[in-house]
Amino acid sequence: MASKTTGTLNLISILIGLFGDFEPKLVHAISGLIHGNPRQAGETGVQYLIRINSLTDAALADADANAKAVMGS
Amino acid sequence: MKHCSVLLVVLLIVNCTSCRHATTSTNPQVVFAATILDAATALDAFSVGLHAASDGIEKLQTTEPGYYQSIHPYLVNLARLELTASATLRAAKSGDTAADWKGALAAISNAAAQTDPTVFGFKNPQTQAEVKIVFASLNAAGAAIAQSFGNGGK
Repeated sequence: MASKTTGTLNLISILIGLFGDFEPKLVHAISGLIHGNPRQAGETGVQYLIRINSLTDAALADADANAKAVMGS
Repeated sequence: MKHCSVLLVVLLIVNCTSCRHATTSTNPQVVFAATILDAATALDAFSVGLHAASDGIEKLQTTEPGYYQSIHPYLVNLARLELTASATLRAAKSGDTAADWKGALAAISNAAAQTDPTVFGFKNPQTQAEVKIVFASLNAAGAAIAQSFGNGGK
């Protein structure tokens, strides 16, 4: 999973606290959409490419796991 | 308070369709990778909403059995389309130029839009309000995909 800003996660957790079981996954999804993944200081182009490809794999793996859970329900 | 939270979640998801990954690179490979990441993140957000909706309707299986029987296949279909889109994105990421990932994402948003999961002859009139909350994140994520990657999207 991609790293997220703790402060924003906490804020979102508080604001959507009434979602119960849905909250942790929803926070993860929202945070990913908000922050994006800018190139970090000192990061080369190749390193950036590797990092965002890794984030892509993680997002797709998570998406697949959620979809399979629905199909199995 | 619960409805305000739902509204906030919806606004965050929809508004962040423009929160693209901040790359200033003109390298086509980097730009493409960032675009695929945007698509994968949007798909992940949709899957989270889908899973949440599925969990939500499971809790209605005994109190609203007709609704469950009606809506469960809709969610399963969206899950199948999600898996197809995910595979297509992986193929595109691996260099398959024929992989129509935009089409796969459009298929999801189009399928999601064909049904309003909150409209049904519920046995309990109060169920609709609960269902709207259950489907809030899924509907928002589907709209975000349509806005960013649907017909006419990038």
